[in-house]
Amino acid sequence: MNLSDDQLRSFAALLDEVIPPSADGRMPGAGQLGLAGRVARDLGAQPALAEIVVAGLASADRVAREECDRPFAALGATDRRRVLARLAEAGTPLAGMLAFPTYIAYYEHPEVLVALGREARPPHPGGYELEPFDERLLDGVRKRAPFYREC
Amino acid sequence: MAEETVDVLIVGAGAAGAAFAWSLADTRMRIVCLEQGGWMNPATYPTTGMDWEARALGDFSVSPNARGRKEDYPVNDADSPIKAAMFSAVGGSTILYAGHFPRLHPSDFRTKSLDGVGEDWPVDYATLEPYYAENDRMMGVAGLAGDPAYPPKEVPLPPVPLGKLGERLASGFDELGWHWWPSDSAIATRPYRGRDRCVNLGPCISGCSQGAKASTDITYWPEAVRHGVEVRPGCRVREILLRDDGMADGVVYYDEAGNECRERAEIVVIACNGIGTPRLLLNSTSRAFPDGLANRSGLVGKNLMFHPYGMVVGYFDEPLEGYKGPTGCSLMSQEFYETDASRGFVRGYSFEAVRGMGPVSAALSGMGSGRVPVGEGHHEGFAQVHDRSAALLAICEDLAEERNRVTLDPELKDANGIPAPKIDYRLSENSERMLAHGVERAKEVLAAAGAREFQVNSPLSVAGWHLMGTARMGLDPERSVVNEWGRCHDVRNLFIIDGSIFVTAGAVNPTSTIQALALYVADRMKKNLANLFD
Ligand SMILES: Cc1cc2nc3c(=O)[nH]c(=O)nc-3n(C[C@H](O)[C@H](O)[C@H](O)COP(=O)(O)OP(=O)(O)OC[C@H]3O[C@@H](n4cnc5c(N)ncnc54)[C@H](O)[C@@H]3O)c2cc1C
Ligand code: SF4
Repeated sequence: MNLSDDQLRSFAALLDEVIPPSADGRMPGAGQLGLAGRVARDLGAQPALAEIVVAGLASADRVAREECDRPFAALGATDRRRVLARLAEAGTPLAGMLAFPTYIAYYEHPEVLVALGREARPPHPGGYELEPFDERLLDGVRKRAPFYREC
Repeated sequence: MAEETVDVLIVGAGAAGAAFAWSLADTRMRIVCLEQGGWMNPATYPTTGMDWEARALGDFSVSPNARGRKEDYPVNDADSPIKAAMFSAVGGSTILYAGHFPRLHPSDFRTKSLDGVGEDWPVDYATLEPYYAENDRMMGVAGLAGDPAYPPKEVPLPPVPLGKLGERLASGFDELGWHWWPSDSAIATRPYRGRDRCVNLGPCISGCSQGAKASTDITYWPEAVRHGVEVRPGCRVREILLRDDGMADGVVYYDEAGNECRERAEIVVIACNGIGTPRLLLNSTSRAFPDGLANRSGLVGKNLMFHPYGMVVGYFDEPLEGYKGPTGCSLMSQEFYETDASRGFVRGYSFEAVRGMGPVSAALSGMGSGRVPVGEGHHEGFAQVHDRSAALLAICEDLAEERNRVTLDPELKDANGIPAPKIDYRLSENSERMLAHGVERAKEVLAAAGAREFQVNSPLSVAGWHLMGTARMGLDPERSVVNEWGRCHDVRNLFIIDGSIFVTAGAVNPTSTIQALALYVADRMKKNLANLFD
């Protein structure tokens, strides 16, 4: 999905409504994190959805200009939500439509993983250490007589 | 067109094909295995990259339809609540399997005599026991001897660690006084036969980049190839040919470049799994077998059994470190394995514990359940689910029913234009009742372990990974497709060795038994070489 610079700015603002920054500032918003380009690229694999999103962005901008005299990207959070609610009422729940690709891009991002207290690395090759199985845990079960059916 | 005649031609290089080829290799016969997939490179598996969770939904999805690789064939599973899951490669579906590796129980081979349902197998647990043991050694099975749910057995490797999550679940079972035991797992918990030890990466069902999980591309196949077996990857068999005397003549296949080739063989062995095998037989029609090869009983493709899965996710208040350790291998319970009429169903189920989800899966599954909303409340919702979930799967015994079947789809085709399979499957009332029972008991265990809320997914639609019954064994040619050692009743040099030949499903993951059967059939062949076709 190819977006102009203006569209990308609106798209980033929109992603901040899919995953907003956390109130305590610990978790960034998805748009702030710079995911707009990545999510737009992923949407390219679903042309029908991409088309709806591009049209939706144009509508969001139009409504924002009509009601607030500014482009969607320049609105504060309250106004953005109001505009998106209007679009949703009219049958285009833009933020919901973007949830799937945004959640994926967000939760595999190194900065997000670190903010969650996880290491910013793939599972391999580091893996994880676990204590060996402790056989004492089975003390209760071991008291039980064999109960498979002989036949 | 190749003109040579090989001694043994195996179709399918998965769990069964590999074990069989390895066993037969010591005969020094000329053995060739045709496999539609290729050799895998573990260095490219998803867990080596940051996008590992996304790839598990894409090019490493468990569904061949979602992956759409040219090596796969599509499956029309629209008329089944349980969707087909498998993988095409040298190693077959073991590339993706979780490695949960329990055996069937002695009673599973005698359901007709014991409970009046299904059919008794023409082999029993005692006959298969030495082959189970040999397979456990070859695959490198981790676990612990002494489980009161089973007859005594040796286990080659120490158990997979339980981790905090497994210990919490174990405490739940203990609280209720119910059986649990560390899972038999085809996972090297120590370096084993050239394999590295498991480093607890987690998502074994996207392929093990560490080489610790016993997929057959790294267990049986290297040894079989060293002993002279030839594996031909990228070769998809279209049909099995028949000689005028009613014996199998070999196969027609497409090689990697799409060329139509022919391979003649003295013995043909099918190991394409419970969907691929009936598909190949149904695609092999002739004047003698207009309804599919070896199908005089009319049972090829019928009696498809999955294991209906009831999944209950429990959410806990504190972190469980569930991302550490093999996803599907920690502990299992067989408290409800055998028939108890008071429960309202016959036969029973196992519980298999499943560890927690990665951040992407936690977010997506939370989105689906409404726990992790878009917009306001997102982070609060995510904090409630991330690393705070543990799941139990009730793996239910499916009863064979002829209406549940694999046929050929009239339109769908694979990349070579070969008709693809269609599945028609409905849950029986027995399965519905068993699932409901399993879901309630799973909630009880999770609650006893400290879970505050639950999410139920039953039947688990993605879980069509255990494929059984579609060319079953038996002594009566009217009621079965192969005899007690895998030879087709109708074609005496044609053998079937995969899950298709299961008579009943049991309530455990099938691969340990599939491979034990493959080793048993190979051994019977070796012992009867002189009069194999009598
Ligand atoms: C996600 C997942 C998780 C699983 N977890 C477990 C588990 O924990 N425990 C367990 O016991 N089981 C598990 N299973 C099931 C397990 O993988 C199978 O039981 C086992 O691999 C079946 O062995 P098989 O040899 O019959 O078939 P497969 O391993 O599926 O191999 C069949 C092979 O035949 C090839 N083939 C098919 N048709 C043709 C043709 N026409 N020409 C050429 N080649 C062909 C296929 O490409 C494939 O490689 C899981 C499976 C999946 C997908
Ligand atoms: S948890 Fe162990 S077996 Fe599973 S993928 Fe990781 S290293 Fe392999």
